[in-house]
Amino acid sequence: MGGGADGVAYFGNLETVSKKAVSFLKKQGYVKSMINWGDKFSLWPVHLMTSCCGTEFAAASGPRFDLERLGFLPFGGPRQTNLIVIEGTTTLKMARSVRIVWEQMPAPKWVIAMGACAMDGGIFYDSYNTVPAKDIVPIDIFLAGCPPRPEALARAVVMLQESIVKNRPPAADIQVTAAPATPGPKDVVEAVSK
Amino acid sequence: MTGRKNNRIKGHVDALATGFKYLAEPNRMTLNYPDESMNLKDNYRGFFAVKDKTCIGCSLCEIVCPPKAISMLDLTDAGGKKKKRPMIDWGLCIFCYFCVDICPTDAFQTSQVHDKAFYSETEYQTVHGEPMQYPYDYSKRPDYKEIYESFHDVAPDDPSAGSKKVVPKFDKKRGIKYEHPGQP
Amino acid sequence: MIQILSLLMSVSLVSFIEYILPPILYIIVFPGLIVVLLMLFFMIWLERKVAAKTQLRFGPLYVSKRFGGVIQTVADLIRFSFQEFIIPAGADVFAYIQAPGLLMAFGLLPLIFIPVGPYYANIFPANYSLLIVVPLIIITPIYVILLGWASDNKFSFVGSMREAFLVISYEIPLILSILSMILLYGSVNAINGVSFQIGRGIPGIVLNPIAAFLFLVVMIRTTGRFPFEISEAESEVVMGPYTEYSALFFGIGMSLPYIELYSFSLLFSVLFLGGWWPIVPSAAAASGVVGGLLLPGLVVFIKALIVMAFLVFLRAVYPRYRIDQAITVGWDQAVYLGFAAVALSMALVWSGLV
Repeated sequence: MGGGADGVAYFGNLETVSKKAVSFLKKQGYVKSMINWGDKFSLWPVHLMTSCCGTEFAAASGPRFDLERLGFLPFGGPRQTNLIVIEGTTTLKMARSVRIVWEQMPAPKWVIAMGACAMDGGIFYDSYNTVPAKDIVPIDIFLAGCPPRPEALARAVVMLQESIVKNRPPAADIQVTAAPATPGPKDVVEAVSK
Repeated sequence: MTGRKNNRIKGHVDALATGFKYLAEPNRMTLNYPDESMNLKDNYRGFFAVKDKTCIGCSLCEIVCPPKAISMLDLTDAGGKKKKRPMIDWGLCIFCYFCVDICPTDAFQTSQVHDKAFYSETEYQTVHGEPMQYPYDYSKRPDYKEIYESFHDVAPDDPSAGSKKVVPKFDKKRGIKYEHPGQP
Repeated sequence: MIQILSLLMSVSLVSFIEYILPPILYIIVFPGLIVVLLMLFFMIWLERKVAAKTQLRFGPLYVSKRFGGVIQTVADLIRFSFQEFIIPAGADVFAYIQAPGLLMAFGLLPLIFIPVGPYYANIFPANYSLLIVVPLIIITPIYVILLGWASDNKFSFVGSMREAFLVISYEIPLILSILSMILLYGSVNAINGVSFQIGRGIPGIVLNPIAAFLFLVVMIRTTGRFPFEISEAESEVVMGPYTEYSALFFGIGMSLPYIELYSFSLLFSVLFLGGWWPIVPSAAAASGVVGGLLLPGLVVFIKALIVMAFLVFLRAVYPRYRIDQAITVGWDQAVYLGFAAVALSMALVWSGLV
């Protein structure tokens, strides 16, 4: 129906057309707010316990703090999830797993760095075998504490929900590669003196 | 063998009965966190700040800090007087409170705030509760004086300040319950 | 053109209501697609909520605080709809994409052949309804196996193999259970079965409790409820056959057990719970859409809803069987129970008690 004079329908390349349609739809305000609403109440973290903060993570999903109220459902496979909570120290060996799991997750994905070890190193700040989480994957929320209480994890999730509703893009979209290490005080002094 | 089988049937029935019991009479022990928050004990180790008036700049906290989260900064105040003041990096702090214990003048203002999260790494590396900006040479910042006079003596703001404060109570029959401190 | 118009005009409103509307109603509204979708949203929410309530917590709440988070599944669906769809590098792309669609189609197909009211006989040939429903229910696991094989993932493959083992173990009990009811009712027409129950005033679950229990166990097994959630065991094989699926395709895969649950529950309430029993439509009412399809359908649906609610409640109570335990139960105890059910039906029929 319609199209060229010889009766042939011209639709163009179907893949390009569908991609264009999807990107057009995503730019519309109401569609965007609907997607944000869906993402906000459907943050499923993947089961990946790197270290001891995992006990607090488990407590947060247990009956006393029950983050499932916020739509936060820990899930087995990385393909179905959209959030990764890096729970504490990442040794070099676990860092590899974190990166692999993060790369297995589908596109709109967020990262919470939980605990001092995941932020700047904490008590293992000068260990030969640990690496701060921000050097592995781009991070959206930093959560202080050693370990943080389950309420603090709930606060991080609430903050993430707020940032999603405010259209703040995931850090994975902003930083294509892993973030460079933040310069410590000495580095800055050297850089300034130069 | 029959005994085992009877036990097995009894086990199924018991499990279902227990499940139905809790379904019919829910005994929830959940803290509705963003709406309610727990009133913790007075000596809970939360975020802390440094009282500028009391601090004598002795660097003991820097020496005792296990993860080297505290580093002393050379600051110059409005009168041109040089001071040493501790900077706290929450990305390293493990809340052991060694610094609070060792401080000879009790210059640390403690709090029960424990649920703080940050959007970026520049937010959590702080001087006395204020976000630290690189380069953190405060003498070069134009608004240095204003900030220097306002940041100290202030405990970190509580993200769950607007929520209802509750106290956990253990009840032998019902398990954990939450009570409002105002109630009798 | 004029001929077509005159043909359209000759189709009066009465014949439209009588011949064209009921099949559309049956497929699109009830027990077809719309009710299936609503039931899916409600059941997944109910499962999470009931498990949470039994475990001393709230479950989904903040998405709509006033209604206890009842639209949680809608939020999940929106999130899944706009997620990236990943096709693994080693996957058999054609099979990988078509398997969830086939799974969905064959999961929905049995719904057409389950009569939910006496009017059903006017819409579709109902004489062999049970004989059509049973193979259609049994055929879906083949596509689960296809799903797991196409993903090129060890966990998917192990999960689908588990599904295959379990299907084979529980096929015979299912067939024996339904066979015993066919023997009892003397017909493979489910409408005759319901009229048999209404005529005697005794539901099938009282006539042959062994067959009813066996059917319930097989229903739990086939729909992957606890304690038979073996092929998708999270702690053993990541998500079983659905491990590699992301976005909406995973949603389709995960909603299949609930659709199967729905069709099984409808079949259970028709075969064992007296069908549309409190409502006994007269011959005149049974020939109308409202009296013959909608009201009885409502009764059957409420009965099925209660059965489904019980089955999703089991998640809160049970741990998971090991695969060898489940297969042992299937081949050892369930098959003998099936023979006992058939024997009971034969005894009832030959003794002339019913």
